[in-house]
Amino acid sequence: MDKLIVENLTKRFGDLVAVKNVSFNIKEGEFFSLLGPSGCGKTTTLRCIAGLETPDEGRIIIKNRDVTRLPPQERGVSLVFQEFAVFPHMTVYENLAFGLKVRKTPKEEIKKKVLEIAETLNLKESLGKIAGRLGLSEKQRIALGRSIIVEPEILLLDEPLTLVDAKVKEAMRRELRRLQRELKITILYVTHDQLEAMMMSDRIAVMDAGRILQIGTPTEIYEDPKKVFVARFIGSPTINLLESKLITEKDEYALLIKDTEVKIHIGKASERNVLSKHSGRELVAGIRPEDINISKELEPGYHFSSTIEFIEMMGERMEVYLKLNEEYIRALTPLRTDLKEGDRVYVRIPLDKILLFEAGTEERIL
Amino acid sequence: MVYLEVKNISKKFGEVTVLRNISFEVNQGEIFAIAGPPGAGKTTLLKILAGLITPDEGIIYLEGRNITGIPPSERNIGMVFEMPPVYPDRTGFENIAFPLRLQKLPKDHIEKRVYEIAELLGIKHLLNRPPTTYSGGEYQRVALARALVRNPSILLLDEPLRNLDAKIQESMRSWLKRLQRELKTTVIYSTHDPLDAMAIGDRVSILIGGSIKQLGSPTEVYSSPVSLEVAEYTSIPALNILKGKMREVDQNLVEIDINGILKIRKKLIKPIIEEFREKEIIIGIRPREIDISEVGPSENTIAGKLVLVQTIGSENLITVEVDKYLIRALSKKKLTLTEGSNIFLTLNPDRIYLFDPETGAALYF
Repeated sequence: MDKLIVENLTKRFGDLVAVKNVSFNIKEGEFFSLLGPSGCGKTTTLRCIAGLETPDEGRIIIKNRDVTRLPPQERGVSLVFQEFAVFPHMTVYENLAFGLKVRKTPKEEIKKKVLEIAETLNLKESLGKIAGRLGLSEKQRIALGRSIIVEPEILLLDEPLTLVDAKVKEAMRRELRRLQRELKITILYVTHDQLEAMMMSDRIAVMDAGRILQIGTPTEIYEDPKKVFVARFIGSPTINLLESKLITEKDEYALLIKDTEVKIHIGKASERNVLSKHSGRELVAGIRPEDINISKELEPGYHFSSTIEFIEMMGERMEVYLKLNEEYIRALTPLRTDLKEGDRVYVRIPLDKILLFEAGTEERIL
Repeated sequence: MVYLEVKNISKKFGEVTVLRNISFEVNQGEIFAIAGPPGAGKTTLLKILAGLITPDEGIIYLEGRNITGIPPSERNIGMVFEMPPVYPDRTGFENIAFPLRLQKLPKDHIEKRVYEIAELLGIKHLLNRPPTTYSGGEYQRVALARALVRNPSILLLDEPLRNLDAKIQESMRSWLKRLQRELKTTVIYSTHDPLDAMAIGDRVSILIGGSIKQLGSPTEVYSSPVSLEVAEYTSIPALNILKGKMREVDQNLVEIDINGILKIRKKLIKPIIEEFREKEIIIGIRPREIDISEVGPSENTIAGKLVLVQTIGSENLITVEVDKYLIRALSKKKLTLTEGSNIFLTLNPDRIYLFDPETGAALYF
């Protein structure tokens, strides 16, 4: 069942169209993320759903009820921002109980619910403590608890982990996802961090310049991006995007990588119907760094030679920057002691891993 | 060649010791990363190097010259803070060009350099706008561009990527490294994120609680942590920490009973066996060092229940419940199992860390 339906949402600020004709549905109990760079319209979309902005066009339906014109408090949504909504001078207990008190819930019931939520959020030991004196992770859990305790139809989270440190963030991503699954909360999550969206979401909508470019599961948008933007935005290290030209040679298709002599044969002309209309055209070849192989010796299937410009260590893995004319190709490999900066190496690109986009429209063709 | 030498620096603020006996050397042309959790003393240390704070004890040599008492302006050290000042009433272009104008560089040179930097940082659209119209991340990027535009001889960067979008952090980091390789500027780079430090640093020092706990190449620090504290800090996803009991099986061979869920055999040197025989030890396992399979059991394998699957590109971070413990592991292959399924985790005895439960010191071999 759809918990939230957003239909053709458009929001303008003066001449700026912040959100352009955005539509999506969120199912009951789903963790759904709006993901995109600063200024892509994700927060404006969320604010329209929360009732903090009025859309110029479109409808917002929460649990079969059109809420487009309703004030925030009548929509059944809870909102958590980057800045933790915690009353610093109150105890953790008072913070958690606050929303229920406002709703005039009986005292006994408040107590029961606060203890329940404190148990789930691992805040039981801190109930008597003053909220302002606690650490970031605890404050964020209090803020979450406060929003969940009033049992909203949808929990709206606007970059709630942005200000948290890398170590805490990693733990919080696990905690939040676990909690969401356990309590079956419907969440709309807004973030610029693709890793965060991937690690927690059931589905992700990738946004750019006010539009949704693609909606899918984390695996779908990673493996099957429909646009160059999506391919570039999803995945770390960033995908290699090589300007190429599709050429035909002796009944075979090959990609000629721009400004280089590098040719990658991608199959027989007869087998590649979809490519026939792109022959001679400018394309963008997308290759994920983890799909690229590096060898010190020339082996069969290796496409070209290159020099290691520099290496970034990533724990058990390393990111190798390979020079190709004025550009770089990034390759991600398990830790290898035989590779160092300045080395001459051979590079292999598995053909079935190449994503092809049309250069002009940036649409995926293969 | 040693470019900067820091000897026994200590600093107290009132009763609080912020830095304790800090010593290290930075070679010319390297990126020296200082990684540590918030409050470790990173910013204080950088400010001491810049001359903004006077240390209580210790000496700093730059190119063999004692600069400990020399004012900041005479040190030729550039510093970028997490939020460096930007002039609000000038355009992005003017802000970035400002340090070059002070150097009285030719106009077309300034223009070229500003556009170059703006392009790399993805802020060309901000050049004609004043900072009052920027978002936090945009503001930070302009500030960073301004500090980088003038190539100082030693550059101190204090969490320079902290307020940037995740995607821009990544490209900025490799850009910084590439730029550094070209200019051969000596850089000291502080960050709370251990992975950030290891990715950019030629060498990394781990600063926790005001002291340097380990210093070495990224691989050394990552693969051979000296203590539980360092292993835990450098591990993202979080280190699995379990308890074990050691029993001697043979010469140089022990059996470790891990929380009663698995017994593994491992080679160790005699002195360690003698000290910890029949005693409790702490075991650390990085999530990436655990192999995952859907069928089992086999040697060194634990059966558990899959409770959480999280996607990281082509990999999955999984959380597995074994007995009453939660164990995190990274699966390099695509996982077909769903949450609630049974799953098997295989530990490699050579890739687990052992720690002294009292001192936290790592026990090797």
